[in-house]
Amino acid sequence: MSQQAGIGGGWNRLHPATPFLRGGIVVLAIAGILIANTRDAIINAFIAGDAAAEPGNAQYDAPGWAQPFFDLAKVFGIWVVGAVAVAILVVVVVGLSYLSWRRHSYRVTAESVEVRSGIVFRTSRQARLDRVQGVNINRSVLARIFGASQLKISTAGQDRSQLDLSYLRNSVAEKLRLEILALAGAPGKSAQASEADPPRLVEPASVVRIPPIRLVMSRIIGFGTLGFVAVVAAATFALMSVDNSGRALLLAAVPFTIAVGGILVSRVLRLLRFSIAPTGDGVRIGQGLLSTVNDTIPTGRIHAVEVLQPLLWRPFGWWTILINKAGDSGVSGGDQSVTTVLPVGKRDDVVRVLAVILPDIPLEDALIDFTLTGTGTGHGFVGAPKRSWFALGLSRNRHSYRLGQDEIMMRGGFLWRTMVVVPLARVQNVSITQGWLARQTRLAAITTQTVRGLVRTRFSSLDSAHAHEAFAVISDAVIVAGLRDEQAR
Amino acid sequence: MPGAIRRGLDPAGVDWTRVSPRYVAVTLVNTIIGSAIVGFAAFLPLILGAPIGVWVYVIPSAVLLVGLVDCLLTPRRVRAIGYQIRQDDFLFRRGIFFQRIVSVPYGRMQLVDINRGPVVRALGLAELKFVTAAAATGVTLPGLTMEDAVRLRDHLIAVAETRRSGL
Repeated sequence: MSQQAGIGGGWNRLHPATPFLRGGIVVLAIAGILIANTRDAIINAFIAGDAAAEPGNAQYDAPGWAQPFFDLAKVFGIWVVGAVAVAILVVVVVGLSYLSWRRHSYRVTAESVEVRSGIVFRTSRQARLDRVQGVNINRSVLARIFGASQLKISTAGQDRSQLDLSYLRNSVAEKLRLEILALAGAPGKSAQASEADPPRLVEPASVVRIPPIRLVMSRIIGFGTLGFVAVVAAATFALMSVDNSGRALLLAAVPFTIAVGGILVSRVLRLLRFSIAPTGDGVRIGQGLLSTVNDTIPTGRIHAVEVLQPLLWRPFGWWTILINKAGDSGVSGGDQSVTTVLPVGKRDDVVRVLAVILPDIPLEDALIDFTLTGTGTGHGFVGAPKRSWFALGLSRNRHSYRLGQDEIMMRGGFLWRTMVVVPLARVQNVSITQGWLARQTRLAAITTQTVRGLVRTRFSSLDSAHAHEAFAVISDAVIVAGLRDEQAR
Repeated sequence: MPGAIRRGLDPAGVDWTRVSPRYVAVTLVNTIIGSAIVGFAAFLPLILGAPIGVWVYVIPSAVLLVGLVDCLLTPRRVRAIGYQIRQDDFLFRRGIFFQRIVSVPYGRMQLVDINRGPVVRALGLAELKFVTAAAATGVTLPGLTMEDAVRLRDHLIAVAETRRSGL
């Protein structure tokens, strides 16, 4: 069957290397374990074959299941029987792989994507295209050698709601991604639209370019790496000064350091060649040097955005941007779900990325600058009252929020500067909370709850009288924004 | 409403609907069972004849005291639960010590569940759970009578249908 993937097409097969890419490693590992375990028994049985034949010489007893094998080997010789056994094994494995590949097929219709698989137990999974949340393309190192890609289609729903098309030919995966996103973004009209405007197979240009050296440096300083070094150095120094056994500790610290270094290297490798670009169907994010990930997030799925700057990044003017997005099962997304839309970038990169991920929320440059680095109120920001110093400390001057037409912005952090933007149309519920201490000091907190994610959308230490007004205003604004969003679709 | 609520989060013009007083019994049973389990664990050293020390008495007493205070506060805590059905959103409040008011726009509701545990069922009550895309904090309204719960659910589903938006 040809790889004629496309809308309305019939059933298609996956990439021929699929069984190997999916199970190749596992098969090799199992074979290795089997060989390692039976090797001694086999060698012993034949080298000392006569000894084994004598009753009572239990130490050379072969496992019971292998007895026919040894009996045959005595008649035909070890090499013949061994070769036949290996051949049978290969035939069975290849046969099963081929069968599973034959029975694993998918099709894309105008309404849905459907996958069916299984030899004995047949399963069939169907996803409605208007429920598709995003499509990513992953390529592991092994898959890249074969020119294969993994296409993952995530749908609305929290857990295990992914449709997994692994593996496909690279070109097929790219084409399918565009087609599925076109249909998912605009059901009905897209069939004609995609004919008039053929899917672009060229990569859209990224709005940011991160020099590798900056990426490496940013991962080395900040985010706890320096803290780790300090801890190790302090511990070493302390132990050395207590008794001169620093050498032993140093020996223990070396593998530990190598492990941490390894994590660092893998993090950098995963983020190298980062690109983010606006497309008609959403934001396209690509990253990875060896294994690559290509994620397309419809902008409507972005529920909250946080721009933040660790203290050590401040001299360099670096920022990073995180998002909460719908269709994610949680924080531990691993490399399959992209929640960092800017690993490290300068102020201009931040402005450009914000424009890409929040196309419906125009933020003026001056406003962004004020939110990122400014203190005090202005630009419509509302701060925390003076009496909240005990809760906020030095960050009180930056702690403020701003309710806009379509968004709510929160700003804070003295050492770690943060800026949060939440589109009101995505807010799931609004709450106002007050603990005992806050009640004594007439303070309250407001949370605009979004989907789960790394970005926290709670704003604390508001004057409680103001918080009540704000709660009413924000919850109204959220309702209005939701209705407007619905009409716009 | 208890005084702490008047001093705390009490928006003007909101007339809270209380949940059934029978819900007090549900929470009491749950608290007593919970305290009994922890209390039993705390008494174990005494039962097993551990060497006598002050802590052998202090820990179980502390557990019992906490359980007792919990039980005494329960009626107030249940009275602090309230809800209001507004034009475009559902308003829900709870808590005395740590107070919380949540507004859930009807358009964001995806599912409304009715849950009934054994104790809850015995008292003819039900618990309503609103599922939105924000799975982390599902809003749960406990202590409704079964008729109220069904009526409320049907109403919410109906309005959610007409104001669907924003996943």
